Amino acid sequence: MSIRLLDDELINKIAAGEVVERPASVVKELVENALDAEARHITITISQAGLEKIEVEDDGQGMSREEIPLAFMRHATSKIKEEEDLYCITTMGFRGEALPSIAAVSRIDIYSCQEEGEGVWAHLEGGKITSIDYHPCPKGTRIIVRDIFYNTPARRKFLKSPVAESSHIFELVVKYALSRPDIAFTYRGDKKIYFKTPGNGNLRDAVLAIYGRDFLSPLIDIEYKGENYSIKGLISRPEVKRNNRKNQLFFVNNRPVRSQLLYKAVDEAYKGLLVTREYPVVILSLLMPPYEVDVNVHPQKTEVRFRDDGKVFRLVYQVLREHLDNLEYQGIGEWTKNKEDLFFYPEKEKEKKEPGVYIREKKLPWMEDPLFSREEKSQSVNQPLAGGKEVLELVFNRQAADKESDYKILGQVLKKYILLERDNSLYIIDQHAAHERVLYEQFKKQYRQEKTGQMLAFPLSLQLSAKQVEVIEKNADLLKDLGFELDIISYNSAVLRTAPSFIQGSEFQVMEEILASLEEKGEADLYDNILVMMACQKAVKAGDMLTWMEMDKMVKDLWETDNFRYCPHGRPTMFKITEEELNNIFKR
Amino acid sequence: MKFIIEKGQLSTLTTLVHRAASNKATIPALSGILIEASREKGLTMTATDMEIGIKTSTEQVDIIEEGTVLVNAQYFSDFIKLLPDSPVTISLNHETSKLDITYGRSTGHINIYDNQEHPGLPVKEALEKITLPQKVLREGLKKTAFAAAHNHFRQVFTGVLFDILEDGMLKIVASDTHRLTQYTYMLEEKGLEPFNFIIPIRTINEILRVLDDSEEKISICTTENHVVFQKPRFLLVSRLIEGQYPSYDNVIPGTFKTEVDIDAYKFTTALERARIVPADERIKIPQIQIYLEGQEAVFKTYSEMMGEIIEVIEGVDIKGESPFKIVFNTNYLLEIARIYAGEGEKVNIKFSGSLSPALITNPERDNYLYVIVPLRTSTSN
Ligand SMILES: Nc1ncnc2c1ncn2[C@@H]1O[C@H](COP(=O)(O)OP(=O)(O)OP(=O)(O)O)[C@@H](O)[C@H]1O
Ligand SMILES: [Mg+2]
Repeated sequence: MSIRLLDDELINKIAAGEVVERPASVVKELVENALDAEARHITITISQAGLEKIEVEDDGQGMSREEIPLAFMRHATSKIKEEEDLYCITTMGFRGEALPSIAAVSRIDIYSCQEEGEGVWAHLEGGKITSIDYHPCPKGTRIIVRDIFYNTPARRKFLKSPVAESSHIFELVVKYALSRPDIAFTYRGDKKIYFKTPGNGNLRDAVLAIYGRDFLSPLIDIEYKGENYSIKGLISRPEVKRNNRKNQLFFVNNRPVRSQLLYKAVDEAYKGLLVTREYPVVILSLLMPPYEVDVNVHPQKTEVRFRDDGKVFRLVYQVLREHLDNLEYQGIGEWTKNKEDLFFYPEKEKEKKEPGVYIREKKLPWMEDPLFSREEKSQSVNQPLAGGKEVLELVFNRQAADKESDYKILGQVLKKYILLERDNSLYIIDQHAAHERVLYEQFKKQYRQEKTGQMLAFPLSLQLSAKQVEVIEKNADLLKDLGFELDIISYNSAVLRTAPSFIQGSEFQVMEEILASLEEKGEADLYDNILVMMACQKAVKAGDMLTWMEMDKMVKDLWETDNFRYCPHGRPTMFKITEEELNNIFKR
Repeated sequence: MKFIIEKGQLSTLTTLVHRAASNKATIPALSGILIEASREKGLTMTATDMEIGIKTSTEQVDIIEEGTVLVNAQYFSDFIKLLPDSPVTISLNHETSKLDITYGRSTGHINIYDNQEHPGLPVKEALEKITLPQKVLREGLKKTAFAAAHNHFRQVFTGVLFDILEDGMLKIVASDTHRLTQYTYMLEEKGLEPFNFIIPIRTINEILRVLDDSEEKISICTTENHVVFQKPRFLLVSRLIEGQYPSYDNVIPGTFKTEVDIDAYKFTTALERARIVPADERIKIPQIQIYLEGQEAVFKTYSEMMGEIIEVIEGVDIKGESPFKIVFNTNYLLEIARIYAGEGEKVNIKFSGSLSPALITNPERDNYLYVIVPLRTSTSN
């Protein structure tokens, strides 16, 4: 064995592996460069999921003929000079690795022009400049990356399906577009424009342009300005829930990041409003001094380390919680002088009341320390046991012969669980999970038998993302099978004409979830996924009060299903404590 | 504060207002009833959870000492409800800071809140105002509100639309997108600017509780984002639902292929029997097929569990194309049938096709209509 130094080309290819994993990584690096060049408009064009071509055009500073070769050299950057700069990064890039890494595995054309400068064009193959010349072009930079991984077939093999790759790119561009509502992003495919954000600095307008009005309308504005930290963004009302974190976006100093810490802070803020596995929509932009955060943790810079984790956590938690708590009082708006006396006591002279101005204080007293003083609302069994007696007896008599149902419902606890005695054991049943299982089995049966759709008197126009409309287009038959009839109106809207009746009122949410699972999983297990999802949407929630009849029916139905111990997601529906275990606890 | 009042009077006031109080404990003041005793105005009670607010007062009270207190709405009204029918003395005990409620020789002491925290009602200058007899409003709401959605991602469908047209015509409209109801009434006010607003169902239910069948007037005012219902010594304020109600005129069909007049009573009882066929409300909608031919209307319901019911109503008057077949949600049909069965002999149904909305009216009255959209089943196309 002999040890050799690798040649440059090979080094670049290996390094490329870290930076350029897939087409989406190319898009990411090019967009970041455009942002660093202070572009106001950025246009991203993709063809064949980026495998054929990725083009990013900006109207930023541009490069001169001398700078272009440097830009493609490893560790050549204009963004940092010395080590200190590393601890105070204000640009997206700083390593000087992206362009050489991309160039190493593709063919590139670059057009660039500086203010008052002369336009330059260059062509690169496998990392080497093969031609460079003056060429008139508008101010800014346009980079076209073709045939990615053409010289590293092994990498190409590891790519997912074009559908999956283009989803990645879409999500990525969305993330960057939302991270900078002050910049106009245009995202286009071969033939169509997916979206175009206005770049007016308003996050709502950017969300509207990308996802449409129905997505936007249940979102509320979040804002907090502190001395060093500030938070701004949109979060969903607690009624809205997703089954994954896809719609939770965080930006730290404008950089899209993933952070377990921030996920946790969000979950904590929604605690009690959503249950596990239900996720809100969150788009949050955190600004803090650059030295408070380290971005040099991960080669793709998507992970960050905060200098003071606890502080960031508390802040995000507190700001979200405060806004969520305030929601309760939003209804009536601002208080002004009480004028009701003007017409309330019609027969009497109206006396002038003092200008009683009631303005609700912004900060509620118990919010000072949210982690500790939130009142635990523990409630005991909701209904008196005596009240349910007759019903129980009725159930008993009717069911006496049936062995499966020799149970006794004891009541509902915390508006979440049903207590039950059976086989000398105490059962605690999760009402949501149990109902999900029951509904799922019923849907399965029903869908096999017949297909009924309720036509709508008011066709519901749904504002969707271009991506979602594409999915509808591709799956029209399948959707019809499920009872949905839609007409596509434009690249980002569709009209729902028929839908299964039992999802009335949640048509939009159900559609969104169906489209998401269609997009992700393709055909496989789709039917099942959709049934699970609809069951979840329709099932009683934690917090719903149940009557004895409802509890009885649910329990009875539950025991009749094949897999009654688990909900369709795989969570347990029940927990059993045997007599022996109880005796042990009480040391009998 | 001290006053003496008949239990009946007191109970009337508390039952009216207590439901406006919040049942969440997050802000104690919002779960309270504000009680004001004034020699000049009598006894006034106010409660609001900031979505809805109710204020009502009585003069049939003997005010001994003026004052204001805030008490928990639930405790207070539950307690008052159970008092014996006799005069009740209520006074604020300044030493214990409790509200003493004395009836006969017994006394209850109830904790009070700091009344400074109660926001009062957010009533501002009214923008628009209409007035109509209570009995009209009551009928209009009863016949429409049931068709609104309980929850819907398009908020407007969870409310009842009040649409005031140029000529002073008031249209009350509700829909859950599967059916639509519309009630019309000619207002007395002249020269109104057209305007409209959407009232949440919860508010409708509350206002229905206080409306009676009298000719006595109730007025409805709107402010920027609230509606105020008002009659002497009673006031209900509620938030409005924001958003634009879709243009419902397009939903009401205008051209028809088949038309039928059915005996209202027979129609209702046939549907009631059909309704017995079991179906789990949450997932499986009970459906009924209507088949029209010759002089017969046939109603068919089927259930795997129970079997089949076929009801034939003879001697119906069918005009236009027949035979004709259509499938509806049984509940939607039954709800409207019950309304018509209570007021006339016949029900008129006009169909514009098996997969198009149908219009149901009482042929003797023209101020109300019901639009229902059929189900699309695997057999219907
Ligand atoms: N769109 C652009 N407009 C103007 N200058 C650019 C553009 N793209 C790249 N450059 C220049 O080329 C240099 C190299 O870019 P490259 O992306 O390789 O490295 P970087 O952005 O400095 O760091 P990183 O590897 O972390 O992205 C940049 O420092 C910048 O000066
Ligand atoms: Mg870069």
